[in-house]
Amino acid sequence: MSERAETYLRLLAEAAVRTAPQARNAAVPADQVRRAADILVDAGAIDDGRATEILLTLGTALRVRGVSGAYALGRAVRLASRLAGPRPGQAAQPPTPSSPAPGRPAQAQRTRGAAWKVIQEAPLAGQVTGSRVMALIVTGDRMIAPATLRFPPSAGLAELSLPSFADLTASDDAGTSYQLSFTDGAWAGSTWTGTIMLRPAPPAAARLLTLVSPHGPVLLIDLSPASVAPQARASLQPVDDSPGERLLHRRAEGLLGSLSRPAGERADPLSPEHRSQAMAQVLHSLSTSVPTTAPLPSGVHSGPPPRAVVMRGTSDPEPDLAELVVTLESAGALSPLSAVPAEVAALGQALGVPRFATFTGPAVTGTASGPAATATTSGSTTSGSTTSGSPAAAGTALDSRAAASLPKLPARWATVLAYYGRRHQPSLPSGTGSVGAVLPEVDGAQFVVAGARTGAQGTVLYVIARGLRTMTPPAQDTGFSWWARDESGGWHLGVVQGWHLANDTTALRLTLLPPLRPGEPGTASFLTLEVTGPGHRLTASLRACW
Amino acid sequence: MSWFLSLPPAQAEVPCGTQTHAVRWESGRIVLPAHPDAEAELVLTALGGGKPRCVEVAETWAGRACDLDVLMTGPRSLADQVTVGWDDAEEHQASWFGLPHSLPRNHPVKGASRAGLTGPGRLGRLPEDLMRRVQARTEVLHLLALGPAFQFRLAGTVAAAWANGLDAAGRRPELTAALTGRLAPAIAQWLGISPDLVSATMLETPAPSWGDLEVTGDGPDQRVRASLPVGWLASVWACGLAVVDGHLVVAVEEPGWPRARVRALAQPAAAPVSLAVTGTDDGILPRWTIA
Repeated sequence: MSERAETYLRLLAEAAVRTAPQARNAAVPADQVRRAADILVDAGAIDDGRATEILLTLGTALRVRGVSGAYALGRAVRLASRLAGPRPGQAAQPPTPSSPAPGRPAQAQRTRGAAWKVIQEAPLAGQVTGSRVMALIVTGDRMIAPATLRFPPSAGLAELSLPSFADLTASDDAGTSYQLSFTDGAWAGSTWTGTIMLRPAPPAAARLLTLVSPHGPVLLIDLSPASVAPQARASLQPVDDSPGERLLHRRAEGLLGSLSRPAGERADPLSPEHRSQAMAQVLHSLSTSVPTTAPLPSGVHSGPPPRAVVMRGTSDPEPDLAELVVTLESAGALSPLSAVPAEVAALGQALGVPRFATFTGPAVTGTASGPAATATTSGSTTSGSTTSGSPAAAGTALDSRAAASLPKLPARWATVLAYYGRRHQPSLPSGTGSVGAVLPEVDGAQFVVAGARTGAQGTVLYVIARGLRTMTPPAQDTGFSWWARDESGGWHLGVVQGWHLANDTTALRLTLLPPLRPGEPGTASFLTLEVTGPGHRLTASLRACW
Repeated sequence: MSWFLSLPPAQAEVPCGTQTHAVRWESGRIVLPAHPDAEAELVLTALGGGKPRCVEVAETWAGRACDLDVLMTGPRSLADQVTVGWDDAEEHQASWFGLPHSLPRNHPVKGASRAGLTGPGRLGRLPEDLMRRVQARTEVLHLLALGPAFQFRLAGTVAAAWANGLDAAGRRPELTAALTGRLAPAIAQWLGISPDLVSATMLETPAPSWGDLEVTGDGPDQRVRASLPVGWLASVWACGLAVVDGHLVVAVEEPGWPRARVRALAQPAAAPVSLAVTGTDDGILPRWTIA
């Protein structure tokens, strides 16, 4: 499959070499190749380095034909960085049994540095009320501690708009002083929740670490070896999804993730009432009752004509669903018979995101040969989705008859939609749950689930990761899907809210949709966590201590 | 059977020191009339003397004889004009992958002072592997600067190398693209269709037949799928034999200059016929007609 993807990309490049010198806008054919490369690398269908070499060679071929342009500048920089060798603390990692199938180099540069030590939260006499560390991850040169810090009232922080982190110091009982840094966090009154970085790593003799403000201690952390966390119980299974389906699933999860953002920051143009109505139309096919009051939304339709969807590539920063599907099918990364495009289109329509509300498209213009010419719409219109055959194709509103013909959404997506489709969501108490679970390696990445914090802004899951692919802002796609199932069977989607990179380690903040109800203080609850990578799904049972 | 027997010699002018020397291609080899004893010149170079540009060209030709970047960068047809001057190649050598000078380059590297590759403050800190890639690409451009006649002969050299002995199956994507990129304009000319409607695959298994060609649809909706050996690029395409008097040449039975015998298709559905063809030297590639 990787060979087919590479062949497809090279054939696109051939078409670009043939057409660019005579094209009105010479950048379009080459940009088409770049966009296809981005999609296929994102799907794991082709190695990033190989895609970069194809693009750079294409650039040279076009230059000698009088067509200039830097087609792969960012990629070339990344390629140079990779070829420069591992960063400090990293080492080249051989393929592992859980890595994607060999034959071509793995998608990301998977690395493994020094082994982590994860210390679970332990009850400590004298702990500052309201402060707690979710877990402490000790790497080769630092400690990473997602934590909740409650500053004493004498700090006067309730009146301040900025944290006084510069006044905090940290030291241990062995006499070591630590350099502190803090990632983006969230304030609730005088309580801050986020991730603390401490350098260096503690000496073996250290047993207790204390964070102190000028107004008193802020946090105590037990460093004793007895608190070291074992590896979590988990199972690892290969996934049946094709690389294209995995990518589309992640895009769909990204769409769902927008529900957690304030209305003004979302991609869709609908008002909450109209979105609610649109969701009702979709959920009607699931026999889910969602009260609505708004008239049929005018913005919900299947999008512009397919040809325009594909041809406008250079003006859109991100590919829409049609471009994704055409590229993935042509490269053999997605079967034309897959139901996933239709499901994602249905989700796009429910959320009122026109760019993801249709996926039919013609062959990409300028491509020479079989894969691009044949793998276009053959499977796209047979799935019963509201695409070219639906009333919505002409730009009309989505009516209930059309909605009834939509494919069923995966139950998890429907759960998230149903929650945010309500006019009122229940308010939840605040709470911090420590987990401290070390997950087995999955597809070259390793994760530690430190804990979770539920507050006024929702639930954030704190995860420390290693071996993730390079993420370039504003991208929030780690290449993995995150779903958590609570004790009552409800599914919660985890979407990356932010990340902080420190050497080979990434501190992730995942927003859970819907938010997780915290347990009563002093109680424990269980979560089933599913982490799905390019080739495998890890399922772990986690215990959260609230 | 040597692929180049159906090609006449070609000559290019190369700036060499303070003079301009002729570099010739004859029977698959680079000949340096101005440097009859190239080996002696190499010895002098090893003893500290400068290497003549002509000798560099001959060495580079041999060094790039298997480089598939040649097929990616070089011409696909006579109408596909690739223009590379000696200054272009020098500029590319200094700019790294053909990208702007503004690109940050601050990675440590060994051998950064390799002669001819780095100037002061330029490519001084790149990883070794990356430097090799830059150097290889620059060398290809130097060879393309020899002009169109040499560009086709170089492509034929590379294609012949992969057709005879190298692991073509391991480079299937590149060779498929190279085959498609050159067959498409030929079939477009032969049938009067868009080259976008042509696809090609590499015929790998040793087979008694020349390959396969399938046409579907009618008129402007015709689509062509062909399966040809990589050797077609060398013995047919690189010798200007792709389309001769309305026939698509699929194989060469008896190479030769100026007369050869080929197998060709008069129409898509027809069986290939054996044709005697005669060539006239048009400067870049021969123009062939049915004898």
